Amino acid sequence: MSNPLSRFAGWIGDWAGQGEVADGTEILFRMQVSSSVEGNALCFHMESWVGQMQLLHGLRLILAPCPDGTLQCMGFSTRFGMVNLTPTPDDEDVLALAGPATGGMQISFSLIQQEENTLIATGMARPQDAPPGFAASGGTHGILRRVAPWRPPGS
Amino acid sequence: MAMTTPLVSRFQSMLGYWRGPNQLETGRHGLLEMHFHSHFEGELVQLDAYTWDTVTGETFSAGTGLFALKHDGRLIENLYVGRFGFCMLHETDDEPDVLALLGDLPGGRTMSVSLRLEDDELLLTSQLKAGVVGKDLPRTVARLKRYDRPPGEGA
Repeated sequence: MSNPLSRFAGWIGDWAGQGEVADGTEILFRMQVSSSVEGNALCFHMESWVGQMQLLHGLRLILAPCPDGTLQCMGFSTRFGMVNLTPTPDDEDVLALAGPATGGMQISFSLIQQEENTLIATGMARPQDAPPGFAASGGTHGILRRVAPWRPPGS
Repeated sequence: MAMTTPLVSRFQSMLGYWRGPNQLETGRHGLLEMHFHSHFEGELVQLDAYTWDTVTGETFSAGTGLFALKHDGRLIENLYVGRFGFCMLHETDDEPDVLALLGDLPGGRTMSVSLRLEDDELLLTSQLKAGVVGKDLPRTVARLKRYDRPPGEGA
């Protein structure tokens, strides 16, 4: 995997957990992180569910280096449309992204590694023309833990 | 099988794997594999594309594109290609059986892509245009045959 992505390579795999959205609705959260574009990109596929079968929000992101070596992120949100996000400076164990969506919203999304197998995911959206101090709504917050595939006992 | 949505209906005949000889705008020849797959109950279609050298097996071009529908019913594509980075393509008018997209690349260049299904062949053409100054690169043409892996075979 190319260098700028290497600090996130340890996140490759399946993650699941619970969270809630701004109105307090509890959600189930699943995320799959995989290598993409011949190891030149990481794909983050996220789905949040209400109840057992209702997809509340789907987000699929491709994080990859530009030819100048800087990381950029493109993706699609079932709620906000196409998104183009830029990593914002943060700690080594944090992926923080922000940028516009074609639906007119400004999106911010972050993954914070809390422990080796625990990630905290947060997402927020506000109108792109919102005045300073605007209280963003529609936030999502979840705690994800690495999901190990089932293995036969003793293996 | 993907749920049929207005987006998936545009790509229904293309979903799956395709392979065929390809020549990049650099003149280098290779074998192109494309894979169309849908996500989020048919709200997103992703295209993964790789071109590799048929002698050495080396991949020398790889990219991925995310397709969705805008409110006006036209397609929009978020595209990443390792050789030139990120861009967003928008559907343009063309013949009814042609899917044509156009967008701006970094550095003032533009990229046009068209897809057309001709009997059992998928015809892909693309061109990089230099903008106001500079020379347009040759239009590339690839004719692809369906190459669907049997159910259960890994991708």
